[in-house]
Amino acid sequence: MIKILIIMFCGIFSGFIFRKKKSFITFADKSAGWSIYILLFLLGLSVGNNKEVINNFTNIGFNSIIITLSGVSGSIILSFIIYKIFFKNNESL
Amino acid sequence: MIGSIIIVLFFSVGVLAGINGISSSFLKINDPSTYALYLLMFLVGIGIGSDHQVWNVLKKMNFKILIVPLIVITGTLSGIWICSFFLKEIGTLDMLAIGSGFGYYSLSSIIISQMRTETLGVTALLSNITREIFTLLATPLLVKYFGKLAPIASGGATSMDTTLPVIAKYSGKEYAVISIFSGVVLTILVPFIIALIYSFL
Repeated sequence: MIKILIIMFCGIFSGFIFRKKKSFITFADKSAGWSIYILLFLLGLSVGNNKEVINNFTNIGFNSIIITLSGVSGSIILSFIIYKIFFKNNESL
Repeated sequence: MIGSIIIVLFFSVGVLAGINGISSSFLKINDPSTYALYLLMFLVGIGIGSDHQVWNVLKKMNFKILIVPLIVITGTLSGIWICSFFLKEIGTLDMLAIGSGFGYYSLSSIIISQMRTETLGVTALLSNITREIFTLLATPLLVKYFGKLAPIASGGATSMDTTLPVIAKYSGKEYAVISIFSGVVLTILVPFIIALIYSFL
């Protein structure tokens, strides 16, 4: 995993260095979009091959929603408290 | 929004092709998808590094603006940690890693399916898409009952792009800067936090 982070840092560094080279940046952006499409297509393909995932799809969907709702509720409640303390009466941000 | 639909479409077409017998066994040869992930991370990095919005937003950093992404991280992870006492089917670390996508479903699902299992990757995909959809739909109510920061907290990493228009509309333009800042910081942190969580495995 540390490898992935180092690679990402190299990307950020190169992006910053070449930020004025518009054609290079556009090319990188387009390639990033296509890599995501292809990787998700491949993930879909192996999921389609994976009986365990297909047979449990309802269950997986249920678990995903539970995880989302608990995470989102936690952050909303905390943001509500912080909003009351730091933001509400002082609209200058 | 169109971007999200295209992404889901690619995934769904893959699933359908897989169910209908197109094998993914060719992928096992030297596991090219690992290298594809490396390439993706490099390209994502270039996107972040070259984005002048990122550097402008970082210059505006102060305590009040910095606290927002911290709220999202702390709130999400504590909510999920509490939930993990009730949902025994998935390990606590996996649940926390899934939540650490903060709505950035494309990247988090790919990383988690690489590091763990496809089942968890799909869970991350669905869970983080749900976060984006929930924020798009619930923002008016969230602002009304939980204040103007609530949709930014709910949107997580998506508050810099897909959910920004609806947040700016209901929380007000002055919150748009906070929304972009929080989204940018979370987007950058997603791979780091997932890696950090799995370092406890």
